[in-house]
Amino acid sequence: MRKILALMLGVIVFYTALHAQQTRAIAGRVTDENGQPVVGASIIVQGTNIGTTSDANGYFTINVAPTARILLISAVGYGQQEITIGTQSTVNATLSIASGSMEEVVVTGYTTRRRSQFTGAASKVTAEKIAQVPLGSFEQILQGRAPGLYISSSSGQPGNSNSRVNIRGVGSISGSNSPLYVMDGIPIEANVFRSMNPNDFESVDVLKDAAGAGLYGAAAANGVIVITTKKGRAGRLNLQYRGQVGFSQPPTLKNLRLMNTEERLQYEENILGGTAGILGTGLTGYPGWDYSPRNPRYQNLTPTQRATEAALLDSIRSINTDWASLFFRNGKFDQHELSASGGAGNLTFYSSLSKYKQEGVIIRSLLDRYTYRGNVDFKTNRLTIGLRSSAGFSQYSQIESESAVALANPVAAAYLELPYRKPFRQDGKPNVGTGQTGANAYDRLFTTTDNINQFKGNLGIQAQFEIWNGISLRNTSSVDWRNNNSTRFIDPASWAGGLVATGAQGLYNEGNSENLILFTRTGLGYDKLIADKHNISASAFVEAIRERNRSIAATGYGINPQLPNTPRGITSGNATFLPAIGGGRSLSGRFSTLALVEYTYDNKYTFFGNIRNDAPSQVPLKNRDNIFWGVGGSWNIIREDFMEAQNIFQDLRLRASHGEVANVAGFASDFGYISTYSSLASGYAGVPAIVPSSPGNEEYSLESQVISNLGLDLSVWDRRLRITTEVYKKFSKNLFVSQGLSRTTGFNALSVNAGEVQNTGFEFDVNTDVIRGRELLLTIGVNGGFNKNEVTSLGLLSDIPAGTGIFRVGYPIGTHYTVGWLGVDPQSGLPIYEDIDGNPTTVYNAANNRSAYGTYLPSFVGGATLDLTWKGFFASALFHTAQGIQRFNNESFFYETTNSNVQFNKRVDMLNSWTKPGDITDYQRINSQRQFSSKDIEDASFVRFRNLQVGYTFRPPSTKIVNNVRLWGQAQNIYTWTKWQGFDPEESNNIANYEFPNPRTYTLGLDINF
Amino acid sequence: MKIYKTAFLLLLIAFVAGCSKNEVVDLQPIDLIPSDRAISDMNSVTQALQGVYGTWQARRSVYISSLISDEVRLGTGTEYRNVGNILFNWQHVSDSQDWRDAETGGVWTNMYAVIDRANRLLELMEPVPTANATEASLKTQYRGELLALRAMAHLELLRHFSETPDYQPEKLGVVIMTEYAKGPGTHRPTRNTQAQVVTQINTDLTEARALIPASFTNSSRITRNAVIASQARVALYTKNWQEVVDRTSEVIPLQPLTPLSEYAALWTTRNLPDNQSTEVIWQYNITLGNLGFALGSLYQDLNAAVQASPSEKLLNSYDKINDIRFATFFRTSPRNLIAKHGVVIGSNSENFLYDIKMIRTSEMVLARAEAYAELNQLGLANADLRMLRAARITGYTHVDINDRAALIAAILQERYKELAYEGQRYLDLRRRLLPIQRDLSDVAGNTAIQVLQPTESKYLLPIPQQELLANPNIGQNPGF
Repeated sequence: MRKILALMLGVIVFYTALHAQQTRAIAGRVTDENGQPVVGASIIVQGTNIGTTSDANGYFTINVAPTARILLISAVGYGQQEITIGTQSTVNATLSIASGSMEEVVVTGYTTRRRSQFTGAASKVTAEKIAQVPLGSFEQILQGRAPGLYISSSSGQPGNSNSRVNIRGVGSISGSNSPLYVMDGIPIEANVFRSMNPNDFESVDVLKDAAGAGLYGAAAANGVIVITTKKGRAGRLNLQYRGQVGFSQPPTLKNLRLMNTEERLQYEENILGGTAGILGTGLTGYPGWDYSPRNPRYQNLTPTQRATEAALLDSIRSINTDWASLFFRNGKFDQHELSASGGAGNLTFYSSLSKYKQEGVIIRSLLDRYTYRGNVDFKTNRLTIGLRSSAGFSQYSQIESESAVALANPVAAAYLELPYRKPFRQDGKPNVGTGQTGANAYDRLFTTTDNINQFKGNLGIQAQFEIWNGISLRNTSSVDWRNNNSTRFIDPASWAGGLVATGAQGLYNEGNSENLILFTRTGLGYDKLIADKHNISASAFVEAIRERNRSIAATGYGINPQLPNTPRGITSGNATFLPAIGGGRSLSGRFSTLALVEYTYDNKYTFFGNIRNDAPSQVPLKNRDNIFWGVGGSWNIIREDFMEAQNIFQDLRLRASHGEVANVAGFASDFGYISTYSSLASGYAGVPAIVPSSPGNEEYSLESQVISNLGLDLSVWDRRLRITTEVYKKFSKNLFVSQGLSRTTGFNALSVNAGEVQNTGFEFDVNTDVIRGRELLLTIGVNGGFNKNEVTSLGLLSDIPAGTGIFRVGYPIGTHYTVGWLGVDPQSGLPIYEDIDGNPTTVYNAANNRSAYGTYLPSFVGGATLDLTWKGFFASALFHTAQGIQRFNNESFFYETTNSNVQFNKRVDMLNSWTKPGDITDYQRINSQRQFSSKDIEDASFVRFRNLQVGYTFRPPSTKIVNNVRLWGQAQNIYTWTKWQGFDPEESNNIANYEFPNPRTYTLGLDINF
Repeated sequence: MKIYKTAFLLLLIAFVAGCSKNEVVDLQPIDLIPSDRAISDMNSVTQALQGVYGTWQARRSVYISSLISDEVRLGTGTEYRNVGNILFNWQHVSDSQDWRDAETGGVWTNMYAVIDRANRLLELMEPVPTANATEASLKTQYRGELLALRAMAHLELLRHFSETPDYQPEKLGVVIMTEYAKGPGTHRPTRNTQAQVVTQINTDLTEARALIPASFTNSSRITRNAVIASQARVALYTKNWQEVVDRTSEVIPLQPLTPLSEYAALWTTRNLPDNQSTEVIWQYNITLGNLGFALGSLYQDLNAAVQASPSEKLLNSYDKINDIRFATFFRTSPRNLIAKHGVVIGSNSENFLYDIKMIRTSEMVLARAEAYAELNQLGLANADLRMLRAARITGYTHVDINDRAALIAAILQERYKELAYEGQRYLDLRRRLLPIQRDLSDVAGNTAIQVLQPTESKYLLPIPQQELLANPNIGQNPGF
C-alpha cells in the first residue's frame, strides 16, 4: 500500500525523498488526564504550518527549525496546550478533556487560525455531526447545527439538491443568495452534493463576516461554507467499515382532513347538487347527486330504475380508496463505507469507498450513489503537498412533476382524487382514463421515467514551499467537474404516452449538462513568531477562476413501443411533429489579487486586515476594478493581568470586524451588460431569424455589501458553560432589481443596480456540560439566530410585485402580496375581501393587494442538541426550528374552490359551505369564485425533532483484528410541531405546490474499526 | 538546490498560468450576439428582418376581439379552465391576472416590441454595405417592409388603446416610436394625439409603398399589396371614405376574392402558397417552431377542452345550408365548436398548425362597400356586398338594399360573419360606436354581460398596469 502511494506521489511531484536541513527532531508523547494515550493529537509548531500527529500510542516525532519556540498540541475533544521548547528533545503533553469549541481551529480556506486568535464570526460543525445522517444531500445535514445558518429543503426526494441555504438572511433581491462553497481551499459548485459522501468531511466551517468570509471578496456576500475533508494521520493503518440499514416512512397529513367517500357523496348531494348547486338535473357525473332522491330527475324514474340506482350508489359507497397510501411507501435505505487511512514518514493518506442507496417514500423515487475519495499529504520541513481527489456517481430517479401544480404529481393526485374512485380495473391494471386523476398519476409512475445520472469529480493540489525564514511560496490549483445526464421516457402505449402533445405516442428525452470550474491561486506567505510574543502571518495571492457550463438535450417523439427507453425508439417525425433539440453554453471568469495580514501579540490582541481587487467578467470593462477589504480585531481579555485574580471566567474574548464584500453570484446572466441579439429558434417562414434579446446596461456592476460584526466568547463554571454571541449588520447595496420599462422601449424590464437590503441580527451558541464525570458526560447545546431583513431601497421604484409576493421598501424580502380575506357574507354566501383601505367588499380586485401577510423567510432559526456519553454508550439528539415563516398554501386553494375544480376532493370542512342566507361559515357558496387571498397564507413555522442517535461502542474481547465496534441506531424527522396544513411545513420557497414531503427515517448502524 | 529549482519551477508554472488577466476576464458570449456586430452584412439584415416578423403575435388581438365581443360564449363542461372569463365578463382592469403579458395585455407589449425591433434594424442596417445592385435593391425593399411593419403595429395600438372608441383626431392615441429608445431605463414618453399617430402611419406606409416593388410577391411577408391594404385600413378607421375606395380598388384586382369553390380549402390548407395566388394579402406563417402563436388553441386545447364556443348569435346569422362559411368555420357535433383555425374532435391529431390570415381581400371588398355606402353610392356598395356573398353562398341572389343605414348595417353584419375570429369584430364595433350586444343564450342568462355601450368604461381597453408603473407619463384611459 505504502509503495503504491509513494509511487503515486512520485509521479505527481517528481521526487520521492527529501532531506531535512538545519532542523532537529523532537519526540514526545501525548496523554490525557488519566494517562491514557491521545491518538491523532495534532502537534504544530506555532506560527507555521509544520506539524504532525500522535500515533496509536500517543507518540510523535517532529522536525523543527531552530527558530521554533512553541509547540501547540491539540486533539478533538481536548483543550489545546502550548509547550515552550527550549533545547530539550523530548516533550510530553497532558491534554485536558472538553474545552469544547473554545480552542478549536477555524479553517477559512486561506488560513487556519486558532479560535482564540480569530477575529471573525464562524461556526464549526464537526465530522461526528455530519457523518451517517440518512440524507442524500449534504446541506440539509447542517440544519440546526450553526447559528445564523438557515437551510430548508425544497423536497424530501432523496438526493434533491435545491435546498435553500442562507447565511444571516438574504441580501440579494434577484441574484443568488447561496453561499460560496470551498472544499480544501477549492471553490466548488454550489448545491451539487448529491454525488458526494459527507462521511468524508472532517469539518465544516461556516464563515459569516468580513474577517472570515470577507477573504473571498467578490464572492463573499452570501457567506462561505468551508469543507475540510479527512486526512490520514501518521501511525498505524486505520481500516474502518461503517454501514447502516433502515427505512423511510411517509409523513402524515397535518391539521387537514380531506373527505372520505361518505362525506364526498354528501358534498355532491347537498352542496354541488341541491338547490344552490352548480350541477344540472340530468346525469352530471357526480353520483352523490345523480342518484340522489333529491335530484328532480328521481321523480321521473320507475321503481326498478330507482332500485338499480340505489344499488349503484351503494356499490360506490363501499369504495373508499386511500390514494395517499397507494403512492406513498416505506422506502428502503442502506449505506456502506470502507475507509483506510494512515501514514508513515513524510506521507499520510486517507481513502474511502462508499455506496448509498435510499428509496424515497413515493414509488420510484430513488438515490443510488457510489463515491470515492483519496487524499494524500506529503510533508517535509520545506515542502508540503496535499492532493485531494474525489469522484462520485449517482443515479437519481424522480417522481413525476415534482413540486408542480400538475395532476401527474403523485402528491397532488393523492390530495385531489376522489375517495370513491377505483385505482384498478377488474384485470388489475390501473384504471386510467379521462378525469381519472389518481389512476392516471399512479400509472405514470410505472410507464414513465425521469432520471438524472450525475458524475462529479474534484481534483485539487495544494503546494507550499518554504523559501527562507518563514516566507513560503504557495499554490492551490483545482478542477471541479460535474456532469448530469438526464433521461426521460414516456411509454407510447401508456395513457400518458397518448397525451404527449407532439405525436401522441410517448417521448424520449436525453440531455447532458456540464459545469466546470478551473481555479488557481498562487502567492507568497509569511509566518513568523518573533520574540515569543509577536505572531505574524501575512500573505499575498493572485487568483484566477473560470467557470463554464454547457448543455444539450434532445427530445424525440412517436416512440416505437418495441424500443422503450432508448433514443433508438425515436421516429423521425412528420409534418406535425419533429424531434426537438436545445442547449446552450456560457462561461465566466474572475481575476483577483489580494493580500492579508494577521498579527497577534502575546495571544492577547489580534489584528486582521485584508484587501483585494476582483475583476469579474460579468461587468463592463469600466467596472472591473473592485476593491474589497476587511479589518478585524480580537481582545483575549482572559489573558490580561487583571483577569488573573478572578475565577469566574475561563475564557473571555471580544471580537469585532468590518469590511466590504460583493456577491458575484448576483448576476442574472454572464453577459447581462451587453446589448445583444439572440437566435429566434423558430425562425420565421422557414428562414433563420435573430431578435434583440437584451438592451444591455453599461452601468452593470457587482452587488456589494458592508458587513459589521461584534462577537463575545466566554466560558464559565470550569469551562462547563460556553457561550458565543454575535451581533451583526449586513448592508447590501447595488442590488440588481428588475426595473420595469415602458413597453414602448420594446423590452419589459432591465436589470439595474438599484436595490438596498439590510440584515441585522443576533446569534447565540450556548453549550453546557450539565454532567461532566469521569464516565458520564451530558452536554446540552442551544443555538439560534434572529435576523431582521428589510428592503431599504429599490432605486426609482418603491415596489416590485413578483407573482404573489412583492419587494417593497420597508418590508422584508419574501413579503406576500395579496388581497385580504374577511370571510363569507352570511346573506349572499359570497367571499368578502378587503379593499385597499381594509373595508369589506365582495369584488375581488388585484389592485387591492396588500403586503400585510408576512414573509416566507424566517425571523428566527435555531437548533438544540443533547449529547450523552456513559461508558461505551452514547446518545445524541437534535431539534431544529424555523420561526416567523408564512407560506402561501396553493394546495388549500384547490380544496376550497367552488366554481371550478369541483371534480377534485375537498377538505371535510367544505361540508359546511354556505347554502342559504344566514349560514355563518368560512366556505363560500358554490359557484362563487374564491380567489387567491390572505386565507391561503398560513403559518409554516415549525419545531422538528430532527435526529436521535443512540449507540454503544465496545472493544470485542480476545480479538486482535478488531479494534472497536460501534452499534447504533437513529431516527430522523421524528416529530414536527406546526400549524401548517399539509404533509410538511418545511420548504425552500414561498408557495406550497404539492412538494415531496420530508420523510421520517429509521436506521441501524454498525461501525467496525480494525 | 535541486529542491529549490524543482519547487520554483512548479510554482512558477502555476503562477504564470494563472496570471493572464485578460484571458480570464475578457470574455465574449457564446450563445448571444453583441448588438454592435449582430448586423454586419445583408445576410444578418435578412435574419433580423425575419426576427421582426417572428416577433408579431396576432393571437393576442384575436383573443381580445373574440372574448370581449359577441363572437363567442364561454366554454362549458368540466374541461373548461376558466380561460378568458375576466374579459368575457367585462371585469377587466389594468392589472387583471390575464391582462398582463401572457395574453391580452400583450397587444400593447407585443406591438411595441415589433416597433422596437423594426426601429433597431432600420438604424443598424443603414451602414451595412451592399455588394451589388441586387443587394442594394433588397436593402431598399427591406426598409420598405420595416416601415410598413412599424406602421401596421402603430395602427394596431391605435385601434386597441386610444382613449376614445372611434377616431377622434385631437384625443389621445398612443406613443409614436420612430427610433428605438437609447436609454430604456429613463424612457417615459407621453401619448401622441390620434391625428399625429395617423400622420406617422401614413408617412411610413407611403414610403414603404414606394420602396417595395410589385414584383415582390411573398405574401408571408409585407408586399406592396399588403401596404396598400393597410392604407385602406387606416382610411377606414379615420373615415376617409374616398381614400378607402381608392386603395381597395387598387388592391382588389391584384388579389381577387377566393371563389366559392376554393373557399373551404382556404381554411383547411395549413400552409397556403405564399405567392399571392389566394385572396390572402398577408399570411402569418405558422410552423412547428412558432405553433404557440397559432389561433386554434385560443378556443380549444389539444386535450379537447373547450375554452370558448361559437356564440349562438353568430351561428344563427348564417344560412346554415347554403353558406359555405357555416360548415367551414364551425362544427355542430358532438357540440358547437369553432373550426376556423383547426378543431379537435375526439382524438384527431389536430395541432392547429395553420397560417394566420392577417389581411384578406374579403375585408377589402367589405371596406369598399362600406365606403361606397357612406359616400351614398348605394349601387356600388350593393355590388360589392353581392360580390362577396356570391363567393360564399351557393345560389345566392342579391336583393339591393336601398336604405343607406340598413345597407351599412348589412355590410357590418357581413364583416361579422366573414371576418369572425380574425381580430376585427371588436375593432369594427369600436370605430362604428356600436354597442357590444350578446344573445341571452350566449351569456347563460346573465343579463349583466349582455350589452356594453360605447359610453361604458369597460368598452375601452386599459393601458396595462405594468406600463403605468414604469411610465407614469402614459396616462390611463378613462374609466380605469
